[in-house]
Order: sequence, then structure tokens, then C-alpha cells
Amino acid sequence: MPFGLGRVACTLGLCLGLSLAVGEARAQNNPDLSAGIESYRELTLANGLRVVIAADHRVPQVALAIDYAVGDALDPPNQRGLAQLLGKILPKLATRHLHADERPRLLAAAGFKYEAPTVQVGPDATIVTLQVPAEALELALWLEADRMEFAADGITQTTLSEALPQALEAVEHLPNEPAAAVAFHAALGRLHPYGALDRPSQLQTAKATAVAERLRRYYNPASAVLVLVGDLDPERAEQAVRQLFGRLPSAPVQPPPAVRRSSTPRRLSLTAPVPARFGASAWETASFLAPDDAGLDVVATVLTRRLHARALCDGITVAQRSRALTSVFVAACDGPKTTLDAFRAALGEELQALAEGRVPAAEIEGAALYYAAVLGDRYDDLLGRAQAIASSVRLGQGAQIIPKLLARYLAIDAAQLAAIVRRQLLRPADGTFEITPLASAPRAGDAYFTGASEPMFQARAEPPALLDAPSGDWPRPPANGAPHRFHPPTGPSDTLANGDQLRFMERFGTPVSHARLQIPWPAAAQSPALGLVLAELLSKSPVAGTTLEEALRLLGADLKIRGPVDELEITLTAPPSRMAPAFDALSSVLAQKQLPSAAFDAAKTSTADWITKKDDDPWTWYWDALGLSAPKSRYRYLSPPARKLAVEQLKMSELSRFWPTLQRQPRALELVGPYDNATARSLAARVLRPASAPVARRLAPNHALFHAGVYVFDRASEPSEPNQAASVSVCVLWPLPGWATPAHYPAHLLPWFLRPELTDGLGARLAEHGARTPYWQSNTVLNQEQDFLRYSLRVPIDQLAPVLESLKAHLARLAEGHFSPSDFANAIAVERQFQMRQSLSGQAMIAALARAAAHDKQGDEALDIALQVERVSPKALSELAQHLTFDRATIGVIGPAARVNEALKTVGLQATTVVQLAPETAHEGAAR
Amino acid sequence: MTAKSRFGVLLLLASSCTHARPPQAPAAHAPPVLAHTAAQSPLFELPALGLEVRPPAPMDLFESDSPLPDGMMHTQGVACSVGTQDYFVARYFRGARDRAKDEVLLENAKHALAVVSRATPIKMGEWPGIELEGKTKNQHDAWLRFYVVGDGFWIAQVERSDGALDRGAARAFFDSIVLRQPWSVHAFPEAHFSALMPDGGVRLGKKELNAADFTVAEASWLGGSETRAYFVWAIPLDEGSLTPDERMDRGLEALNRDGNRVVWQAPLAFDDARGRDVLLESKKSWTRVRFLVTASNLYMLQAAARTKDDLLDEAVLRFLTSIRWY
Repeated sequence: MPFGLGRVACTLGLCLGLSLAVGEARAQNNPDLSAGIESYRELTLANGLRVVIAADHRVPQVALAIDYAVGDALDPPNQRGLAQLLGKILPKLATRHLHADERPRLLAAAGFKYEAPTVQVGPDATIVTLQVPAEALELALWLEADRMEFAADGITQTTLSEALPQALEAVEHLPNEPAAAVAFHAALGRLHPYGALDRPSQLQTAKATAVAERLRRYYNPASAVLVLVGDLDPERAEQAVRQLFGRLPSAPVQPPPAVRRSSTPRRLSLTAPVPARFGASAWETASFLAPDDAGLDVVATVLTRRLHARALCDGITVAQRSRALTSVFVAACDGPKTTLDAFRAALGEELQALAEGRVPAAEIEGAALYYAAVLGDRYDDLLGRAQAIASSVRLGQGAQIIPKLLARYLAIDAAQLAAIVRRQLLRPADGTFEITPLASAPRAGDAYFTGASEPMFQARAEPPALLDAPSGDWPRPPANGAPHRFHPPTGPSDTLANGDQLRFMERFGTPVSHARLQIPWPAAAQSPALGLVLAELLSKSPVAGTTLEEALRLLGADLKIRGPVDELEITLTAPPSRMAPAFDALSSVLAQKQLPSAAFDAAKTSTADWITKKDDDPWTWYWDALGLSAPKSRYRYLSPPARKLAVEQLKMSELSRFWPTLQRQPRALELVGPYDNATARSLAARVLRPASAPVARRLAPNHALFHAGVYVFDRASEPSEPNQAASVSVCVLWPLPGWATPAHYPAHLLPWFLRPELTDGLGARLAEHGARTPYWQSNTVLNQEQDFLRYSLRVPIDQLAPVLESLKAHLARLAEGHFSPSDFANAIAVERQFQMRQSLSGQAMIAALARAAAHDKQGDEALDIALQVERVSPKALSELAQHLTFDRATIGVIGPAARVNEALKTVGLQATTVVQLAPETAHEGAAR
Repeated sequence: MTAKSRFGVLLLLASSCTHARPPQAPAAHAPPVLAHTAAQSPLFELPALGLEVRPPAPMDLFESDSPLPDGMMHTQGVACSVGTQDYFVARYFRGARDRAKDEVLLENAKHALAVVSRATPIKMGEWPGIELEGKTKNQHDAWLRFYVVGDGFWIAQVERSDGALDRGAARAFFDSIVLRQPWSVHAFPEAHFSALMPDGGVRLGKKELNAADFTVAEASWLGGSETRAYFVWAIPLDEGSLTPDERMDRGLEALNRDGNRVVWQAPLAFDDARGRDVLLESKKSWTRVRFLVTASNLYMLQAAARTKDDLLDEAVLRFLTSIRWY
């Protein structure tokens, strides 16, 4: 059978099978798309401010979003980037009531850690977002109301000039970047508001008084939507909003006019400093949230996958760039392997196939479900929810957009998609553009386009409006309510008779579920490459005429298989209705008698590539230091050549012998999704071993012992900048008490206390020792045997000794309890907030459950950290810090051994082991 | 010419750092009478600085920092030109550091002009000032008003590069200037409260207030004819058996012993705390204090001025009622 025909036949077969599965799943599930939002309250204040208050009690946090209908498209003539500039300065501006540094102090007085709001500026809007503890809501509302009315007070020429470089960076994009406006220029022409967004910026001439006037005139309640989502009392929240925002002055803002694109297709040619030739086609399409907009996202996903399979370009980008006035659909080829015409021909064929309904329905539904799952993940987050609601209200689509949008994606089928393609894309592109690489070409602006003289859209300047002057004195920040308690979600944790385990968390509201299956390696010694290659092979194993990876993609699921030191780890993100067939597909692969030997060589090549990439990672090499400190364990260090050699020497026969042993190993499944306990258990039964399977004894691997010491990787290093000393990378790993035990909880706070900016903290010690602040990173590192606190840094070699001295002195002071109460309170607040955010994310829940499984803990303990951290005492922290000495740590250093040893001697250390590394390349040096 | 170069001499002289004393109350001359009645131009405000002015043309903001021996002198103001006549008004402030006495600054102001043909003491509310006319070193006609406020001073100047000043326009500009003291929320995380305080004053901390044992001891000294100052205090209480009222009684007795006279007092309750508003008279000044006593802390907001009347204004009331704790 010719290849093409076979492929079609297989695909159709698969399509039929999956369509039945989908029908069944849809019949069984009437998904709850509420996203956990229990109620909505919508109101419009007299000054025009539209407000949405949505109650969502999953965690005691509230997200605020303030969406101003002012974006790049309203930038005045010759002041391209003004909206971006205002976006950069808005979080930092002082008001007549609050100096910029008084906001953190005010929140600190109330017991909260201040996090500056995030401001995102797009063509249509500027959105300010902030997440705060529920108890801080009224204070945060007061701060934001003060910012909305009085931020213009703080604009000075200095604030503008400080923010200018960042604003210019946000404006000037390379034309092959997703944020570039060239596609809009090509599709819509210069007379459209979006088509003139790549005009040059003249922000350098912006005057402080004019920018302040702009802020007052445009960023006020009449152009804004305020959204509160989270653990709030709607009645009380409404009262606070009315009191604080109701009296703010206001003046309406006219949106830019929707101009029809000119009917003549544009063809742009430009030169830019891009690495390879780039070509794209662009169409004007349905505007953001219009009925066809969601379908076009799915079209883009399908086209990306299908064009990628044709391997015509180094990179394929197909995307629906949704905007309020109109959208643009872009299909781009980066680094064409033949010609751009060939890419365009292929694009035309795929569009035709979609329009005629020749693309398998399963492929389309898989893409639609995948997109819904991506959105589901985004809406896990309170900030994601607040932003989505704010945009929707701004566009007149109402507050309940999240369920509406999720339902819209879930309802997309092949027939709808074909109709959407016919309506929106089945015509010659409205514009095309090609970029020729030229290192010395400008990055942006008119200089791209030689001889461009097309008249440009210019936003109409609105005259300064007479804003109603506020009356009376500004209200004081209100006092707080009672503190909240946090109750993490829980679910069953089953250990079956055969030793397999299920750990489950129910999570309703968003159409995405997550699963992770772990199978521990047998204790028998094995090649270090075996797990890595096996992971590759499994994803390429045959299922229903295609590979596991592809079959799951058609189900809208995302698969990752890894083979780290301890176990085989399979992670799945899928629409809830597809988890059953996804588990069936996975189960059939795990049950296969023989591994697909035909894919063995490709799997080895792919693994070797992965090892090379991993060697380049500047922050994860601490595993190598730990490996050197545990030479007799399964974590033992292997040099990069040894790793590659192990891959080369691995034989298929070795894998085939190993596979039946692995199949008998116990399995642990972590599952998070919108299921009840019974459904979760029935789903688990599909992928765990049958109850009749023999009881598998979990073979305890040899316990690894990590020896304290200094492990030096000898490598000559070039300075990253001229006239500077060569750099060294250092990681210090201190062993910690077991994870999720009372003695461990203070460890969650320790990374905070390694920050240089604390009061009388590490920064002060660095200054005392004449050391500069290094590039640094700190976290807790978890593995099955031992948990560590990690502090990694990179410094010039001549700074190594003073930095280590400073660290030593700082830790000694921590151990004596020298830290300020406010830093301690902030550390707790930050960690508590972080852990609560983590507990909302399905992916983070899975990770927590997996850690719990590895540490033999209950699932709810894994999500309980927020509460436990709150109870840590300063004494417990200093007691833990007493163990943070260099003689108890595993220390890794990459650098020239002779000079490193000299530096180590000055702090009373000496190298325990020295291993040779290949010289550092210039590229690696720059990366680090 | 920039504002900075115009007043280089002043900046240097303003840097001397003797503790500010009450001025010797110069005669309160009224400012020149408004004779010019041109149509009012739009009001221009810089609330963070406390400036209101009606300029004859749109104004541009300018700012600069100048190093002095004891730290930076910050300048912020607005300027505009109409034909050859330039207008500007600017605040020179020292980041809340102490400054020279009023009379020194007022005398130094005369160095702003190369030739001074007229010097008249003036006041704006409680802020002492001087009005000068003469020639700049470029031989331009110039007219300026200078006021000492808080930790620094304000200068408003009109200058013309060719010929005589348009005095009507200049006077309208000067007379439209209103200097409002900016206030802002100051938070004290170490004692979990916030209060409104004026911004432009000389900041006094625990050391200057001789209050090392206090959790919070901070003051903003504004000076002027009233030598107005605002103080915020918080101190942890020992675990004695005294009730809040007994503690406040003892405090007042101590104040009496120090030569103060309690003129008036009234109890108050704030959240769950007991408190008391007190008016005190001493030899040279009057003081209003709000005490608040919780189980573990004593909080005091205190406003002091030379006359009783000055303590009864809206600003003092706003200060005393502004405390919020968390």
C-alpha cells in the first residue's frame, strides 16, 4: 500500500474509533465550567466605572484587575509607545498621599508583603493586576483608588527618563517576533489603527506635564473596568468599592475608529537583524471574542501541527492575533528549507483541506480540547480569571465569559471549523511580508520599509476634559477584618492490594485534568542511559495505527515521559472527558509485550541531543556536585562523555530484557481533575495494574549517602566581559530535615533570608567584606533520599573568597537570631502567598502529590505548607540555620581549580575531589 | 539658564546645618496689592509639592539634584515663557534634613540677584519671605519672591531679557501662587500603624528626639512663625497592673511636672483602645496630644505650635484623627 494511502486509512480508522469514544465521553459528562466562581455581582458606578465582584473561595486570596480601554492604538501622533511608557511607570508613581516606597510600608504595617502590581499594555487596553491576601482587600482597594485618581502627581521628568529604555524595548520588536505589528500593517494597511503601530517612536521628547495630563485624561473610571475575584464577601466588597472609587473624577474616552482595510493586498519586503529568512501571510479575521474567534485559535493549532509535519521550515508559527477592533490571522515560516512559495502552497492546501472537511474530525476535536485545557490551566489562576473577565466586560461581553469561552471551545467540531475557514481564510491573504536577514539593519520603525509613503492612521487627540473635582478629604485606609484560615483540598489516597497507589485531588470548574504515573526502577543495576532511551521509546510506541504521542494529541492531551534516576515518570494533561481513552492508550503501551525496536536508533539520537542541551544549563549542574558526593549510589556523577558513551553502548536487547521487570513494578498514580472519588478510582483502574496482578514489593534502592565536602570541576573559564576576572559557578547544598516534617518547615523561609536586600542581611555582610552582589539563586531541592537547601551563585574568581566569607558571616548571624521581625514576617507572607497560588494550579497540585508520594506523606500534607509555614517561629528558623555551616554542606565549584583552591583556603575549605571538564565555550560563558 | 545655575550661591549657603530656630518674627508686611486684573488663566497644580499657580502660558516641569556637603538639595518646579519674559516657581528642599535659620536664608536670598534695588519682608500665611527686585548678573530686569518653608525654600521669579518687566503679568503670576503643605500617609510597620504627616518639614528621628526606647519616635518640623511641628510616638508598655486611664493620668502628671499646664482634656475610645485628647500650654508653645493605650502599647500623636489658635485648625484635626493600626 502506498504510504499516503496507508496514512489516510490509519487516520480514518483512528478517527472513527476516537469519535465513538468522544461521543460516549460527552454523553457521560456534562462538564461544570464555572471555574469555581460561585457568584458574580456587576455594577456601574455613577462616574462610569464598571465593576465585577466574583466570589471564589478556593484560597483566601483576592485578585484585582483594572482594565483601562487605552492601549497602543490610542497613542498620539509621533508619540508611539506612550501607553507603554505609562504602563512602565504606573506601578511606581507616588501620589499626593503616598510616596512610592510608602505602599510597601503600609502593607507591611498591616502584616502583608507588598507585591507591585503588574501592568500589561496591549493595542486595546492597559491592564493593572494585583493579588493580595483576602484580609488586605480593602487596603489594596484604597491603594488602587488612590493610584487611579492621583498617580499623575508623581510624574516627573526623572521618572519618565528612567522608564524610557524599558518602554522603547516594549515598542520596538523584531518583525519576526509575535508581538511585532508588521503582520497588522501587512493585513490591514497603514490607515487602520493597528496598521500604524510599527511607526517609529519619538518618546524621548515626552514632557512630564503632558504625560501627566494624558494619564488624568485617559486613565480614569469612565475608561476602566474593575474586577475583583477571590475569597471576598460581595456585599462588603461592593460597599468598599463604592466608597473608595465612587467619588473619583471621570471623563469618557473615545475608542479608536474601526477603519476598513484597503482591498488591495499588500506585499512588504524588509530587512532586519533576524537569524534566517522569514515569510508570513496575514488575513483580517473576526475580532476578539466574536463567534469565529475561538474557532480560529483551533484552526491555528491544527495548521501548526500539520505544517510542522511537512518539515518545510525550521519553525512554523500559525496564530490568531485577537484584538478588539479586528483580528489578524498569521501563518509564518522561519528559515524555509526550500522556498517561501512552497510554504505558501502547502498552507493553501491545508486551508483547502480544512474548508472541505478533509481533516479528520478527531484531529480537530483534539486541538479544540487541547486549547480548552490550555485555557483551563490559565483560569486556574485568580489573576488569569480577573484579566479574562475585565477584558470581556470592556468589550461588552459580560462578566461570565469564562464558562462561555470554555463551552465555546469544547463545542467546536469539524463542520464548524470548515465553515469558519471558508468565511475567514479562504481567500488570498490580505497581506504578506518577507524579511531578509541583515545584521546591521534597524530593529524597527519606518527604516524597515524603503520608500514607504502610505498615509498613516493617527489617533485623534481628545481635548482635556473637565474632570469633576473630588470633594472633601480623602478617606483613610480602612482597618482589617479577621484573619482567614486556609483549607487545602483533599482526596482519597488508596493503596491497592497489589501495592499500586492512587493519590487524588478533586478540582471542579475548569475543563482540564492532570495525571502523573510513576513506576520506580527495579533495584537491579542498569545502564544510566536506559531510563532516558526507554522514555523516548514509549512515546513512540504504536497505538491504534499511530504512536502514543500522536494518539494522545488527537485526544487533546499533552504527554511527557521522563526517565530520571529514581523512576519512570509519565505526565498527562488532558480534557477531563478524554482522560479515560488517554489512560487506555497509555495502558496498552505499558502492557505491550515488546518495545518498538524500529524506533530505537531515533530514540538514542534524541536522548544524546537532550544530554547535550542539559550540559548547557547553568543552574542545574548542582546535581553533578551531589553526584560526586555520593559516588556509590545511583546518583553517582557521570561526565558528559561518559553519559553519551552510555547512550551509544545501550543495546535494544538490554532494553527488551529490562522491560518485563519494569512492567511488574508497582505503580503510583497522582490524579487531579473534576471527578468524584468513584470516577477517579475507575479511571485509575485503567492505568494501574489489575487487582489480580502479583503483589509487587517496592524494592528499596540502596540508600544514597551524600558526603559533605568541596567538589571542584576544573575548567578554565574566560571572562564574560573584557577587563573582568574569569568567573566561577558555585553551589552550596545543605542537608535539611525530611520534607513535610515540622523541622523542615522553616526551610521554606530560608531562601528568602539569602536575599541580599534584607535589613542588615547578606547585602550588609557583602558590603563589609568588600564583595559585590553575585548572580544568585536559591531554593530547596527535594529527592527521595535527602532534601537540601541550595544557594547557587556566579562571581568573578577574585570575588569568590569575600562572597563565601560574607555568606558564612550572614549564616552565623541568622543562627544567632539576628534578623528583623519585619523581614521574618515578610518571609512568611511571601511563602504563604506562593504556596496558596501553587495550591490553585492543577500542575502544582500534581507536583505536590508526587512529592508526597516520594516522601511517603499524605496528599493534603503536600498542600498544607501555607498553613505550616505560618506557624514557624523565629527560634525554629535560627535553630535550623545553626546547621547551615560549610563543613556540613556539599559544595560544588566550576572554575580553574588552582585559583579556586587558593580562594577556598582563605575561608578554611579545601577541595575534596577535583574532576576535569572540557574548556568552557564562549557560548556557555555568555549563557552563565 | 537653568534654575540650578541661577541659584548656585543660594544652594551653597542653604547647606549650613544649624538646628532651625524660631524666626525673630519679622514684621508681617502684607504682600503688594493686586492691581492687575487680567483674565484668569487655568490653574496649574503640583499637589505632591503643594503648589498651585495660574501661569500665563503652559508650564514645563523641571527638576535637578545638587550635591551639598551634607547631602543632596533637590529642586523641582515649573517654568514658562511669554515672549522675552520668563516665569518660574520652584521648591528647593533638602530631603527632610535640618537647615539654616530663617534669617540666614532670607539674607542669603539677596544673592540671587546681582543688583538688588528693593527688598521687602513678606509672608505667605505663616511662612516668612522676602520680595526682591533688581538685575540679574545678565543685567535682565528681575522680580522674585522667596519663602522659607519646612526643610527648604520656595522661589518664584519673573525675568525679562529685553527691556522693562511687564509688571501686571508678573504680579498676576506671583499673586496666583498658593503654597499648600503636602501631606502623605506614613506607615510604621514596626508598630503596625499609619498616620498622615506633612512632607515638607525637617524630619526628626529617635536620636534627635532622645527616644531610643520608643518603637516609633518621629517628627516633622515645619518652622514658620508658628514653629509648627507634628510628632508620632509609639512605646511598648511594661506589664504593670495599671489601667489605661491610670497610665494616662500618670503621663499627664509628668507633663505638669515638666512645666506644662493641662488646659483641657477629654476621654475617647478608638477601636478597642482607651484614649484621651489633651491641650497643653507651656511657656513658649501650645500642644495638642492624642493618647491611645492598648494592652501592650502607648501611641501618641502630638501637634505643637506657638499659639493656641494655630492648633485648632483643620490640619491638626486631620493629623490627630489619621491614625490607623493593623
